[in-house]
Amino acid sequence: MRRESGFGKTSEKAFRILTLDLMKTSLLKNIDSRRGVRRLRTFGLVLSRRRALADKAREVSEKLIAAGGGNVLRGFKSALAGGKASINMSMAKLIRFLDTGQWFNVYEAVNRETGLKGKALEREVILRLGEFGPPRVKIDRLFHFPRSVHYASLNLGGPGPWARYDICCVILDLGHWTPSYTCFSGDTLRAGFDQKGNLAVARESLLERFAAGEDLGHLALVQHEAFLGAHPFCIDLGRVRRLLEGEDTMIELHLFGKVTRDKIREVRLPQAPYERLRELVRQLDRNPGSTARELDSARVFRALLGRLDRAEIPFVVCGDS
Amino acid sequence: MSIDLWAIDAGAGEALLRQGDAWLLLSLDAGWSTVPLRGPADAARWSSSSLAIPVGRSYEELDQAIADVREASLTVLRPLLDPEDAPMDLLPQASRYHSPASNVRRNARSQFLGRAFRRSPLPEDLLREVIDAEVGPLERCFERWGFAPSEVPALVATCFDRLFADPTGWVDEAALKTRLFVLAEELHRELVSDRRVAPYSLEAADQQLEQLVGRRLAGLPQDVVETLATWTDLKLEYREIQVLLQFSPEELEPRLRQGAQTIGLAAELLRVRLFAPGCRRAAERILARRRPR
Repeated sequence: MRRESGFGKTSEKAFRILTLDLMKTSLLKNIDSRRGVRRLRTFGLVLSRRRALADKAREVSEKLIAAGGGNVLRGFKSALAGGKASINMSMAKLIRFLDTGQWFNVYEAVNRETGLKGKALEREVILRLGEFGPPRVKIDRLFHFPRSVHYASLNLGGPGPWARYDICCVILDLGHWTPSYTCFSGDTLRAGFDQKGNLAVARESLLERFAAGEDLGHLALVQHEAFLGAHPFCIDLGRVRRLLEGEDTMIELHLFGKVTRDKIREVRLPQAPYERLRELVRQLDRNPGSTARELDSARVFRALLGRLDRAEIPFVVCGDS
Repeated sequence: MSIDLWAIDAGAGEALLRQGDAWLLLSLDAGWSTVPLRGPADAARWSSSSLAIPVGRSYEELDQAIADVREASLTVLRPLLDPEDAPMDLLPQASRYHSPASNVRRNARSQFLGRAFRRSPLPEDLLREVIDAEVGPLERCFERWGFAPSEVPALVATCFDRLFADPTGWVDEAALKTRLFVLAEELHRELVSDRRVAPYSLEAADQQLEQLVGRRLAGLPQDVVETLATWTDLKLEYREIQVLLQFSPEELEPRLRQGAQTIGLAAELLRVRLFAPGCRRAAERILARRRPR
């Protein structure tokens, strides 16, 4: 009898069998193949939880509609539909990204520098990250992330969770990763670990906040039910943006594979740092020979604008989240 | 209280400091002032998204730490700060490509590189490498297709011109090379159709591979096929699919080589161009067949 399609235990079992079979083949010694298996396992994990998430989202929708919040729900979905991926970074990091053509995660950076692979690479990364190494590796293992994973966040038109230091919000073409990306409601590191870097919440509650990119709408709906319930008639787009681009309430995206310069659609800078930098550039123009350390950022800003211009990447200023 | 310089990312103009239990980020963007981080999770996030090097040096005064970090950062950043004087050649990794190369290659490089940088997702050193490596095979390709040696340089130039004019689909080195050979193939088609010569059968090779993959997929459980249908695309490499579907090299390689010889292209191109999309199509077809009506 043919097995019915389902994402529950069947999927887990199928992946276990598949992986065990693969382990027997000598070809799996190839690291590229392992990466492929890991990526499939990540997806298997979210697929196995997909139905439960969809059921919960349906419940929340029905509750909202029953309470007269149908328009709020439609507004929320419409706001999410325009979402893009973004990575916040400093100006110098963005220059490095533009110059090298690629945004490196810690594994790629260390591999590029040392040539290490596999377990040796993981050991080196843990050493580099010191006390922060184990939490990062735990997260990657929990979600079966391959080493090619890049952390980004959902962007709804604001400057992203810029946290006072990652001022450049680099907007990426999310379509390139669709549907092969996953998402998490919140910041995985903040959500999962305490002050000492120990896992502070149950594994299951972290997995509840983890979904396939295609299910981002369901995840956001379930996680922000209370927020939506507080809107009586229609959604306030500014508040939605502040919520979903907030440091703790953002939707984290996991992009698999390389993040390259040609995927940049726009670079945004929040208003306040932009005004400050513009003033510093004026000062620098008046006194180009100055060695004042405050003017270093103006020099970097000018160089960044030159790079963006050469690469024909739009640069815009937007209000703070 | 003394302050520890925990790690530095000089190329980003940033450093992580620790004062007692507090984590501080020293940043050039903030005018070399410190920004308090909310806890180890923020510090971990910074560390994992930077090329930080652990330092572990203690300072009595914050200003001393700032002066050291600033000096280190400016040493790295200074060459990149003046847009006029900082073309890509100043990147350290590019210097090794200044070694003497053949005239043909050097000419090809200088001819194509200026145009390439504009919207290329790839670093310039890689572009140099690809140009150096692929000019020869491309020339041989056109020669195999029967073009006169005098015609070949112009055809190669046209391929690179078209490649750099439209950077769509350059994800990595493999994608770039594939695109280059696809363009060569398209150019060949344009020219052979002018000459009324039957084009080689890339479609036939495509169909054969799709059937082969389809047979293997048919034996897999529904959810695995579903996963493959969703995940298999140009990003999932030939080698990965080969292993996932447990094809032995003996089953695939001769077919690839045969196909490559028939149409006069690199076997690598067939691997990248045909195999993953074929696998995806086959998985989608099986799913459509299995879907209850």
